[in-house]
Amino acid sequence: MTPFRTPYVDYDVLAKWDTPSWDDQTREVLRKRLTEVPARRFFSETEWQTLEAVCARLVPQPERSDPIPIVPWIDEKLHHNWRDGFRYDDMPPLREAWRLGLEGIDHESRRRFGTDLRSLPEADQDTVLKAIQAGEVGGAVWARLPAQRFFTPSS
Amino acid sequence: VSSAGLPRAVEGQAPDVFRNGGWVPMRSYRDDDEVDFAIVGTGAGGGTLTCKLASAGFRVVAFDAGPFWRPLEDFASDEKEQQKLYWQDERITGGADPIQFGANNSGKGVGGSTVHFTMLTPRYRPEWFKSRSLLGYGVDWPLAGKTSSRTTRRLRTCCRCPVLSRIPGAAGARGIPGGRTN
Repeated sequence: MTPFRTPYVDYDVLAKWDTPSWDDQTREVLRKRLTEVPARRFFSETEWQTLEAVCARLVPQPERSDPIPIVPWIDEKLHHNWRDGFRYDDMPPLREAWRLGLEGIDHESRRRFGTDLRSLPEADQDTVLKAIQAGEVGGAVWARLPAQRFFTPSS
Repeated sequence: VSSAGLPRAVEGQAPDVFRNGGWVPMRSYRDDDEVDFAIVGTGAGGGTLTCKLASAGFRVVAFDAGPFWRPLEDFASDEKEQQKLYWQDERITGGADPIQFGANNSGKGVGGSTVHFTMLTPRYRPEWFKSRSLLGYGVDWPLAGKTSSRTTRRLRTCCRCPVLSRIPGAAGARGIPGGRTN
């Protein structure tokens, strides 16, 4: 996968902190987001680790010594059941879709390489994720969850 | 409701969306009062209709699923934070070519999607009123020509005057942002 390179190398949104662009409400929201990263409440430990492995391939952050946390915010969204305003009728409800999808990723990983996604080398992880993106999957989980719908962001 | 989950617009007043901590008068009704209209949803359609009916002297109650926001106090300049304004509850979409509703094209709270419409109001082009005939998709509207422009003007006028407190006898949901007339 091609690494993402920002075209805005000199832009830092936090430079707005003390400018008229932000008010006290905005500073408080951003302060909380930067300092109060949510703990695991929705995912199981295994689901969390699988999602960490997925995020490391889909949004790698090699340029950051201190990577931006991603999984905690997905966990928070699902903990509060903040949904997307709609659901395709061939998809399970959001929380169930996430649990099934993460289970399905490890199923597909074991089907192809004999072990969970997080234990695979990066190239094999990419093979699994591309197979799910393309819908080239097998097993009972993916019979209940359309792989390409799960992979495609809904909003 | 407020962020604490308590109703905000009660006992004859509603939040003044233009002033921190301010209030404007709003007629309120008891649960067993008889009213002329009960309107579900206070967005661009229901909010505007509430305004027009109340201004005409009807007794109107309007319902909304979400909070009565105080924008100056409740909103941050941040895209993730403003997701609380969106309709996040489940709506099912299906069929051969299912529509992706998206969350941010509707709202939950007094004012509905007008709370976060970001002042983007595309004007209808004349051909869009006959989109089936002229463009080959959608349906033709039962409005056209002079009717549409007069309707558009009226809608534009009433959608930009949400401050009902200055209209004697006005009732119903207030605080539908979008600017004010004075």
